[in-house]
Amino acid sequence: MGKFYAIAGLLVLALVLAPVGFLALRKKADYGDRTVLYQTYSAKVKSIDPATCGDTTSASMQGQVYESLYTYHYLKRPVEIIPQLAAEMPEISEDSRIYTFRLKPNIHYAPNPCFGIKPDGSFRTRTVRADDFALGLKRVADFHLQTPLAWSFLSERIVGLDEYRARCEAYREGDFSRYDMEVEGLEAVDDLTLRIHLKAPFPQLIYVLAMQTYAPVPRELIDYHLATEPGPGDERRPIPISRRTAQITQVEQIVGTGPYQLTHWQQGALMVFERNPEYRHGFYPTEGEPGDAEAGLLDDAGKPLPFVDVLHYECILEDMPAWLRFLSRQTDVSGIPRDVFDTVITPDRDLLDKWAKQGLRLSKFTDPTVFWLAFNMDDPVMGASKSLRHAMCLAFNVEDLIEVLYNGRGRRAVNVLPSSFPAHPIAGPGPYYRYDMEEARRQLDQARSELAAVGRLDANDQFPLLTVDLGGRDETSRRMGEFIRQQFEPLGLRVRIELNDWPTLQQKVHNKQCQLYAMGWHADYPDAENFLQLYYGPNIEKGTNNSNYRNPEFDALYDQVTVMPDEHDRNEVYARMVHMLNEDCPVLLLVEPMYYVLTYDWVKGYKRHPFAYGMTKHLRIDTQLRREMGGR
Amino acid sequence: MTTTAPNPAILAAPVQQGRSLWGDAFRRLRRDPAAVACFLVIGAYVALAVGAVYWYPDFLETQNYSERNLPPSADHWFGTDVFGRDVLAKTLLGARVSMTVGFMANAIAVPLGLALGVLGGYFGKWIDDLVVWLYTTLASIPGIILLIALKYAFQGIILFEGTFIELNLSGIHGLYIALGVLSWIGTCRIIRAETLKLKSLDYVTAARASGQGRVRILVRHIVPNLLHLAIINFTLGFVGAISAEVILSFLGLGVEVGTPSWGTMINAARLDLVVGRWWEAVAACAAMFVIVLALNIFGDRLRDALDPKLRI
Amino acid sequence: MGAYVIRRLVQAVFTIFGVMLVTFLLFRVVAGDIAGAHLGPKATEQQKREWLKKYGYDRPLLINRQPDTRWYDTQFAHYVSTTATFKTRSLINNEKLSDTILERAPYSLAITVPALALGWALAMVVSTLVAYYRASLIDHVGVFLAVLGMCVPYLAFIMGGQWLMFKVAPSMAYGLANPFNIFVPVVISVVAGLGGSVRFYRTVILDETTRDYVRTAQAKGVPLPSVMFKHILKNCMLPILTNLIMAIPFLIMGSLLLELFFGIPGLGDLLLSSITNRDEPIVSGLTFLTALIYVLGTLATDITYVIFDPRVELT
Repeated sequence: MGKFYAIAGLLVLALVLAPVGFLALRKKADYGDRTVLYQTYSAKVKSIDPATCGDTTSASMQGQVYESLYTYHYLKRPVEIIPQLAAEMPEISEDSRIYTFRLKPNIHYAPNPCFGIKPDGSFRTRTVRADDFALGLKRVADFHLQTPLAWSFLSERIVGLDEYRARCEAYREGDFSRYDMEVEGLEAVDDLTLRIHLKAPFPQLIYVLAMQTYAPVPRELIDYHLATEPGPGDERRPIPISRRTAQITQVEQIVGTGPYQLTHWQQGALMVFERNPEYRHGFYPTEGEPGDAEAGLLDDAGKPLPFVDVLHYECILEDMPAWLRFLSRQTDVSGIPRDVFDTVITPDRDLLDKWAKQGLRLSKFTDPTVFWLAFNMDDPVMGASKSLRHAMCLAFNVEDLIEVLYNGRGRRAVNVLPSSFPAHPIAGPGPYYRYDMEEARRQLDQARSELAAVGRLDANDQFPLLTVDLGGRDETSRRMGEFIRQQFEPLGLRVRIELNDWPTLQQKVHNKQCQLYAMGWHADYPDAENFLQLYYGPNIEKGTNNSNYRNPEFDALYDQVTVMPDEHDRNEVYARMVHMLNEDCPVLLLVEPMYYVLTYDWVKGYKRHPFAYGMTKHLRIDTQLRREMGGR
Repeated sequence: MTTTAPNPAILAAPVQQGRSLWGDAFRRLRRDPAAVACFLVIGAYVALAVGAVYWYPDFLETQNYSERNLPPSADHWFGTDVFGRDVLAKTLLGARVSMTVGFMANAIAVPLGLALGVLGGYFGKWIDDLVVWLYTTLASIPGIILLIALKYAFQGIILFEGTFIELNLSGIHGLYIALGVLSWIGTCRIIRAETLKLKSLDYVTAARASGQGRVRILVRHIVPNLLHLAIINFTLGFVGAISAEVILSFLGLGVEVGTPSWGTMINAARLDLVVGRWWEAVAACAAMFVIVLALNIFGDRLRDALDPKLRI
Repeated sequence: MGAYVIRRLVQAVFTIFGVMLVTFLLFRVVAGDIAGAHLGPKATEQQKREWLKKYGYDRPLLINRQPDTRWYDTQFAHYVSTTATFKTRSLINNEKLSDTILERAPYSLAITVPALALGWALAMVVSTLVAYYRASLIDHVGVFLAVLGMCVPYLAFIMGGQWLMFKVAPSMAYGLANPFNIFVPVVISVVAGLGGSVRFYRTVILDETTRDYVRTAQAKGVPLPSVMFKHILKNCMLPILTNLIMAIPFLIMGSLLLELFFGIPGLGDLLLSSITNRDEPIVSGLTFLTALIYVLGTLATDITYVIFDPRVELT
């Protein structure tokens, strides 16, 4: 009998300890004496295919591996475009419709089996050619790939590309021969010269081509990874066309020219990037804006990039655990969760002394992002009364919102453009983007008669119940919802809050089922057109104008401005367009958020760039200092 | 005449016994101080569920941003929440959601379980096979997955919009229904087993021999003798429903925004606890703890009193 | 006996069929406009049709009534054949379900297996102790604590536990950087479940203690501890082990909430995110897996019962 109890005890002990064995046996992150940057990220990576990238988390990961023709200068502000894979700025024809790009010679892709395998088992590589860019752009236009963001910037721009997209429809998804079709406007003149023919002048093209979503894609990748699979033995066998997918989904399918390669990806848990041995074309900038030299940002001027060998990114969806990992010096860079904000930052927005003494440094910046509640202008109530929209804007206390839910980290958005854009000050603040209850009540009375006139009040002559849709189910969204209710209640407006998953909200918005919904926009490039296209009438069809705002005057100006080559002239027109939006209020503007980033002293060269991804290559880690200060 | 004479006596017996069963149970419960205490607690919660709204009619508009996140004090016994509203009031109002969810879910589940259990147990054959198949199937799928899936399927659905029986399935009404249609299994099992037992008892056989119809026997002689089981399950089912509300609220699938509920209060702790704001979650947990404790003990005592055989 | 086993097997087959039917219908409803959800709102009708065709969603749901087709050429048949073999692939990243399960299940098991073993051992020790001193102060306090433990919300245990770890050892409060971190959720799960198990085990042991053979043994002068360890516990094992076997199917799915809170990349975590992502094949595949193990588990329990306990009636 005693034996039974002994066995039972041992069995329990063994079962209890078994997971430790399993967890300890996992492939350990052993990077030897290479320099490693440790960081956390807080949302799941949705895409590793440049063409299908549509969210900032995926973009920041892709920025490490994919590069495009142009990029931004790391240090200079206002931002400046510089060549990346292109050798120089493009040659633009007289009529601004033909762009000729010369490529840097001898840019190599990261080694990959799709280029062949050397006798010693290592992978081959090859140089980047002009037709790879054409293929990248064709994939963006591919009917069978979900490329809403990337395609929205190029549709109806390049000669023959829209026709190409239409022709793709007839092909099956797995039939890659569609990539052999010529596109008139995409011309690989020789290996190092790419020419793009535009339907009309498009001055923003240069910014668009600085997004890594238009990175070159080698044909070998498609033919090897997407069209064949490992068969018996060493052979690869073709995948039947019906089973093929056109999207890049696996780590080994990533072929880029960037400073890093993705070597390990455990979804929702870990991403590891290692130095791309073929990367030779990046150098730390030698000049910056005033103050950069003093801040030590020019210490590494002219040195080859990247400095760090391995990027170790852990996915931690919750703020607090990520923050605590940072505090225990397990990670090098971190934001500040809004809940602990008061314990880190002084009321006048500086780092508390006790943290500064621990070797932390604070960088503050405003991202070119604006959050708002959009009115659906097609809604029978919201669209029918401008005064109702005015009243709601005036009744919403954004200052309170920033205090209560943003911990003071943000500023009130006063027009639809981010404050760092040159057109923002020219346009000036909108008359209804302020808190004024009295005026709000006056506007509401007006609204009552406006709605009564068109018969949109309910049976008791009251405003109908309004529904606000939010794109999240977590506690933060719930609080936002409660706050919104509290703002409209004093006006006597009844509001129902609906929490949705993000995709559900997008669908509802697209089907025009929402009345009011929370939305935001992060600038893709430093041109006001990027924000104003959200209100351009024809874009309702394309799905980027989701407030369904229609104003022929606005649209006429938009058509005019998008082909104006001179930036200064454009800004004047942009300001006039913003004025129209200020008056019509298709959105209730909320916040331009401010970001606070903390780094430890051992991280050198940190400067946040508002648009560009893939700037991590500029960071240098003083590993000795890190060890001395108790990091890893 | 002589043959029918004994029948009324036999037939009356279980009904008589049934009556005395209820009386006896009531006496036993009344003499049990724990049961009485728990009953009072449950009564108090029911009163809160009904009355708190009248006590705090405009709680939702009591936000006061200059008093937000205050720890417990003389003014606010349980502190204030992120919008400066009184947490005590919020907790008391939260009883409404929990109690109604408990009640409504069981008001759907128990009759459903009773009906299916009796049908299966009494009529046997393919009906029984169908009932058993139905509940073994549902029992095989983890309840929480079904619950989440059902709640997802309900998203954005509003039935009978505009009428007075409007059902907002993405909110609390969806909770009633989802919990109701998923938690009848336990009741059904017990009822079916008991029906099988009752069916073979002498008085039922006698009733059948006296030529009473099957339906009549079912209604007159079987169902009344199963009601005590239904009541026990009703009490114990409350606990499950209250806990489920908390977990669904945590996943963002609970009540509408703006309805105070313990689930959302506990959920708030995800953001608040780490910065030391413990009061909201603790208040909700405490309120929930007390009612669950009372329901558990009362349910046990009720079972002991009504059905001594079932004692676990 | 043989007839009984066969009947149970047939029943199990029907149950599994039922599970497939329920999960299939439910998740198709949940998925809603599944093509729209995956292609994004801007997809055209043509794109949606293509997509539905590619993943086989364009077929009739249950029965194919169209002429010149086989009646079983339906979504349900396709679902049954791919799910039952775990060959189904994710709509998000095209990964095979069996691979995903192999990758993630160990993490779920890493929480649930130790929790089950430890919980069982602890509950046994405590309930034996309580039962041994029945009707004494120890018993009363023990039962009282057990009931209290049962009434604390599960989320409170998780949040309280994690908060405590943040205070004591922040690096252990999240993630699996250190293999020993796994014991935080394990302990929480054990503590949360202890009350219920102790109450259940105590009842089982007490039932056994009041049997005649115990009284006979005691009357003959065998001390109670000896009877307890030699006979009572042994006889209690059957119901207790049954109880354990019934818990096994839920091991594989891990604890949804614990995985969420502690950032453990197990199957529960996958299930939740797959529901939000409308990754229908993964959700139904995982649900089916759990249900399958459950059905097989109950089948095995029932059969072992008949073999080892002659008192059990075959109903």
